[in-house]
Amino acid sequence: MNVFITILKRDLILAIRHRAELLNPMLFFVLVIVLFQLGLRAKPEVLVDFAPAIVWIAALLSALLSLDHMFRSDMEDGALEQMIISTQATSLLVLAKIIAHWIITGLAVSLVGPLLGMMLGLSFDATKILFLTLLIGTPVLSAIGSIGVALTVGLRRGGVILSLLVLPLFVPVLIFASQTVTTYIAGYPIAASISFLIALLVLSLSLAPWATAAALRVSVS
Amino acid sequence: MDKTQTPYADTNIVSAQKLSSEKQDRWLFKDISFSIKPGQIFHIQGANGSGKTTLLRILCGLTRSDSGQVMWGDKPIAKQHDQYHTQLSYVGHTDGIKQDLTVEENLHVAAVLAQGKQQNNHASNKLANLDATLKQVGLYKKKLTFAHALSAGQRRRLALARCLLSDTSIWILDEPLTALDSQGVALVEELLETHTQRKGIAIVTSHQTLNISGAHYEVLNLS
Repeated sequence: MNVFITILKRDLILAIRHRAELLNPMLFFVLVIVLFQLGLRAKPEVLVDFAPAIVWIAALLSALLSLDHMFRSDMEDGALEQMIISTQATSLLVLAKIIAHWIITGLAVSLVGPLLGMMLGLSFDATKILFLTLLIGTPVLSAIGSIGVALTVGLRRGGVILSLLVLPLFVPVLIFASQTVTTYIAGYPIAASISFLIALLVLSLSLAPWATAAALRVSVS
Repeated sequence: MDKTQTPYADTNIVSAQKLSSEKQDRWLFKDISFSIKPGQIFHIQGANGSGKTTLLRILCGLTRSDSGQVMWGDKPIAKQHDQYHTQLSYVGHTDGIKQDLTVEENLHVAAVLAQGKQQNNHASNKLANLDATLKQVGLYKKKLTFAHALSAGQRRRLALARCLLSDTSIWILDEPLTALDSQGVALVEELLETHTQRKGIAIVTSHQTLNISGAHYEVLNLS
């Protein structure tokens, strides 16, 4: 447990000392949504229909933008090798890095997303549901993303492959999360889709660290 | 406690059996075999690009060889990664130091990652040993300095401090003398001397010759 907290703290400290990298995905997230609104010039009632999907697509893309940093610098300066030859379980270290990535990107998006949703015309109740889906859904993005990053971190230009690899896996999250909010607005029960999102969360957080650890071992060699 | 005198608890022979490695359709080395006994310094020499680093990474278990295997004791390391790594410290080409952490923070992370590397009775005082280790490598005054403000030689010292901190019996050092001043070189030689006296194994690549008295010293030339 000590290791988990140390690595989590290390990654958060590094993120705070690298503020530009921290703010970039956040800024991207806000800008995409603002630009959507400016570009669409739709009637408010039409915009409300689009709002959950817009927020979620922006969240997806900003996650993708920040993923590459997860292991890149550790790979370049050799810290990753040290983690792999350490006696600690690599999957536990990976889990700490996934959680750190989520705190830096996902949690921030979850907090700002609902405000932007309101700007797009969502009701207060609907923004609460949007917040809930972001809170459950964004860790899934970090977890699934970590597998993709681990597989491509050894490549010189892994960016494009990473997007191709990871985006299809992000799609279920996008569909279920934005569907949940639209269903709620339409007045139908949402328990089923929330449960599905939670299932995705549990599944990805419990399996991704192992897959990522294995992929990192291959990437390092 | 004078641990500099006590031999490591778990020393064992590291041997290579017919190791070969190929890069871009060219053999870096083919069918090399050697065995390194506790208390021995194994110096790998060779021209640039002759596969020194690759060989070290294979010995660490980080990279796979194209044929042959590395044994620790009587079992291949591939079958006992976890136990092998408890006894292994590796200072690579890239030293694993985070530029944006201070010297102390860097070493703290290394200490936590190395927990369980040594015999459990040392495990708890390892964090307390941080200051002592920094003094030993001459970085105590730089404790709160960011790693990016260190000189190349100081970074090398910091990377070496990791080996001391984890108290492991196998040291694999890739060019440990690069960028070190004469004092630094003397320090490395002194550390290696104590290490071999305690029946540790050191596998080193370097273009310079090491001046170590009393140690069993063997050279492998890859070119």
